[in-house]
Amino acid sequence: MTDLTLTGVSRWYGNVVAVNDVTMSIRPGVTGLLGPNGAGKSTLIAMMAGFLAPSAGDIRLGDAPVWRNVGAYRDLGLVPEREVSFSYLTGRAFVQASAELHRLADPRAATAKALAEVDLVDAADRPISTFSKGMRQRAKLASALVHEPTVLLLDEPFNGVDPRQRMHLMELLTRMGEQGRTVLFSSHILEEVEQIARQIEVVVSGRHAASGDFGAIRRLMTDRPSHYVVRSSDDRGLASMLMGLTGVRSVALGRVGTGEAITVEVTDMGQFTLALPRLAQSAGITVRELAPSDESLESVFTYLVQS
Amino acid sequence: MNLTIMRLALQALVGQRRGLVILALPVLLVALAGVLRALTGEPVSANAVVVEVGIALVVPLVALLAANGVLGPEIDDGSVVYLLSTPVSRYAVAASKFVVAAGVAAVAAVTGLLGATLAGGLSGRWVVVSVVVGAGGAVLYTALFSAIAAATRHGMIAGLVYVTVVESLLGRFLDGFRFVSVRAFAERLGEVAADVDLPVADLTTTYAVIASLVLLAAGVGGAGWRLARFQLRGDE
Repeated sequence: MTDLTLTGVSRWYGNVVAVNDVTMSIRPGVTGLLGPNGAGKSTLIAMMAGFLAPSAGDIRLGDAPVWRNVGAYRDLGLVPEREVSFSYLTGRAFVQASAELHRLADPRAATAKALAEVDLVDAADRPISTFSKGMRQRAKLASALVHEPTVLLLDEPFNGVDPRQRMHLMELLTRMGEQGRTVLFSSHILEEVEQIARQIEVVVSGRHAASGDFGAIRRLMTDRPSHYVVRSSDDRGLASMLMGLTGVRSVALGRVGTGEAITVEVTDMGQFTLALPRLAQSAGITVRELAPSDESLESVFTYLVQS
Repeated sequence: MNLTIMRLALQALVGQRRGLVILALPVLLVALAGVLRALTGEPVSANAVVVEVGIALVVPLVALLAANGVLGPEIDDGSVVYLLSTPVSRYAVAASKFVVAAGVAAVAAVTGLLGATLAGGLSGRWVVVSVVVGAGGAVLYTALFSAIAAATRHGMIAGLVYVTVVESLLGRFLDGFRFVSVRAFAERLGEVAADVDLPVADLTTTYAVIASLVLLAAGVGGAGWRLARFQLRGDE
């Protein structure tokens, strides 16, 4: 009961496709669900947690479906992005309610253990309405952990959490992964995912764009054709010389932003950055500007989708 | 039934501002009866105070607030997900919340009607009416408003429309509406229990009982059905 398997899962709202034919298997250890905002990560997690029916396809925890199967929550813990609105409860009462609803043998002890695990012991007896964002996040986590689920799903757990708490949370997730639990968290920040996820699933525009360990994903992102914009005293002269370089795939002259420029597509970034100044100097051309034109994460994702 | 869900529902009702309004309505009714009696120096008109204000307005309104208090906000803001990501049957969650809402509404309704009866100096038969129609009406209205809350996101507004338009306005001019009027069912039950004449025309007791049972089943079942299919919408 530790594997979460998605087979051909799609979800659409009317004419809008939020998740498109995703097949993946989430295994023990920490998995990062990486994608830009609006990629369908929350929709995927809602479906994995049994809180959204897939329009097509099948999601199973072990052998059992998760949709309309409340028994699945014995093995599943969910930390939604949604805020806790039980502001009239104390942190401890909120977590203990979860322990009782899971019919644990000793809810009080399980609550104390979960609160200690997320480092929320000191503030536990204050009402949730007085909690900071990070404390609310930890209260949510404690409530999802209290029954020691084998599968833990977290939707954007690092959003709005300060750096110290973020580090603590990362350590906690890593520890849970090492205990053999299946931990899946979503994020739109590659660096976050890289730090703790052993396995990364990339989702873009509702599609499963890439899958692998972080090394594989990194290579996909860095060893890719990249685009540079160059402005110089003689664009046409420089362009013709650039075309002679082996690491250059294409050169285009045209309007970029406010003025004329060369757009270069490069397959070997290292060679290009070394060769450009040498070429320009030998031809007596002044390079006024050299800028990567696609360093945003979106362009990286776009590339991953196309590859 | 689940005691934890019931405890949380009760805390949600009495621990928030909504609880004060549920309390204020019966208090106002009692105050109205007391003031009228003090001014006129004789018992108040049971029909005007207990029936037209108490049964027609206070009972449905406390039930409306209670039913939507335990079901509405949590579903609207999605935080019910924290209760539902547990192995508790969704129908048990709905039934537990219903019992709490109906109980709170019944206590408030009976307190209001009974208080008004006593403060207004009415006869002992009206004490029976207060208890039967107050409790029965509150439970039935809670069931109706739970079903409405399960069916639409605008449970409060739909419930208000039902009370003001269907029951008060249309029910007054068109006799046929008594067959879909919770007030008529509750008043028929009150008539049977106490020897008073409430204006419910020819609605039979059998019909009132059967309709009440159907309403209860629809209220709890509808809310459970809604929770069983609860979907968490992403923010994207």
